[in-house]
Amino acid sequence: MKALLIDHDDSFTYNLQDWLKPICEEIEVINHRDLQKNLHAHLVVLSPGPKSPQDYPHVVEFIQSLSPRSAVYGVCLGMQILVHAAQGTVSPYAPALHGKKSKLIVNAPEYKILDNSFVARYHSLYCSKYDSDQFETLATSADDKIPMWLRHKQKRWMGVQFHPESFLTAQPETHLKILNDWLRT
Amino acid sequence: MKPLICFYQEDQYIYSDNYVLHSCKPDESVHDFLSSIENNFKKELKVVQINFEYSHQDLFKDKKELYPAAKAAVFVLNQHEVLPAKSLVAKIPSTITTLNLQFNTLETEQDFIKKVEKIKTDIANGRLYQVNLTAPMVSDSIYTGEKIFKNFFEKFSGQYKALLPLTEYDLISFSPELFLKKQNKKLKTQPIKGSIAPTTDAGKKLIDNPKEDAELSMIVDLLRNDLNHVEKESSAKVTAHRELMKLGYIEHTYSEIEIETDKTLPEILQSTLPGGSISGCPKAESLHVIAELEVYKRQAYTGTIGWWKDNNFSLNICIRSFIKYKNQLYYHAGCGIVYDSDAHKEWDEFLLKAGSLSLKNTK
Repeated sequence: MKALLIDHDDSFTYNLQDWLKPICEEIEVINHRDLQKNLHAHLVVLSPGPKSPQDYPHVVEFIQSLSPRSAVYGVCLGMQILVHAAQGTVSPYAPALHGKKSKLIVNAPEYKILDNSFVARYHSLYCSKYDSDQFETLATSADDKIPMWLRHKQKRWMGVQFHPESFLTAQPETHLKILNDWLRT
Repeated sequence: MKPLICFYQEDQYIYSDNYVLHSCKPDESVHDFLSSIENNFKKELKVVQINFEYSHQDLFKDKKELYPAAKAAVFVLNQHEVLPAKSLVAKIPSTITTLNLQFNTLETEQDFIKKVEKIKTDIANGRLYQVNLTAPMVSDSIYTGEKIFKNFFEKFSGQYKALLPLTEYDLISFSPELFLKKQNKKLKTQPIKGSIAPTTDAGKKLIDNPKEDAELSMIVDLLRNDLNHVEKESSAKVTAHRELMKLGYIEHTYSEIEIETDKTLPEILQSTLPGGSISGCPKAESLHVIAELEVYKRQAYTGTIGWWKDNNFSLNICIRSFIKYKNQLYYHAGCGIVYDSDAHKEWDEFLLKAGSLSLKNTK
């Protein structure tokens, strides 16, 4: 499988690359400024990063131009870009959480294995509103009940507000296996 | 020649008074400069010094400079000795006396606090997660670099001390922080974050503090990233997390991250400089914030100093360091600013990092 990892000038992008290695034969890291329409990959990964989805209109345009066969996986800012691209709302969140951990409450029966497991959080914005006909909320945070894991019902889009690649996340291999299984369905 | 000193292994120091100093030219990139040194002097023992600005010269080009300095310098040692601390101190001819120094901060408490608040607003708006905010202090000084090194040697404990007689200035470092160490294939880093004044239960308070935990944890993820960027073929591992470091004048927490690689020093520095613990997270955006808020170029401060031979090296983060230029002595300090930082407490931490220096507190 070939993955295209879009870097939003983040300092965790190469951790994501390292995390993805076991399931991808090839990972191309590309800065968001260098995106061109004719790029192809089985999987497009949107990295975390500074600022908000409104600051990356070219990334929104790029994922909307992808063939429906390409899967998109968004992490943190990446998930917020997916929600924003589907006309949802991303709002400031206080108190900001950077380098902190929360337990997941998993709603999706097929992913219950991750219920109550710790995940790392780095965000001061959150997905405050999205259409439940479009996105399924797979998990929320146990302490503050924020959407943590979303899956699009029609498109091959999945997003996580937490950081599966962080050393603070308890079961990175399980998160990766779930991503891999989803990509192969 | 003026003596050159650099930390080596454990309690051992490199001492040399026979060396050739090479400086990076203004129009040459630090990477090219280091690559040419590597090609010409691979087998020799070298002592390296690189400024904070490294390859981001353009971002900081309009900032004021405190002293003239090359972007990077390398001492190629013709002869050297390896000495334990005791013999090293005895070898420096100057006497130990009370130094008459009175430092003024070149930033007022008011301005520093305003900048902390500005960073907190940027963090709340999603611009970034952490910034290391620093400022210099200055004192008149008639003392030589050697005298300052010898007199503060005991007061500023730290494993990564050095005295470098550079062309325009002397750099005296009492750094406690390891930036990068490479031994054969193993490359490791030990970022420090989290600080507390040394009281009886300081260590426990520091470990139990969730703000200090988050501050170090995010830098651990950032340095994992930088090491994973250096080497795609292996994975960075966290080998220690939130260990306590007691320095007498202050206590810190630090972590350790390792990776296996065959890459060379110039290649490794391209993915790792400036150091994550003294810039911020995400690093690229934090450098923009530092360029916007700090008045002076950092130059040698928060750059790096260390030794280099073959493909092995050990480099510090140049903090807790003095710059002796003409009759001025500079010292800088800084703090990691995060969302839940208290601006007044950060100012206290800034002062605490001046150790036992005599400070005039400018309101």
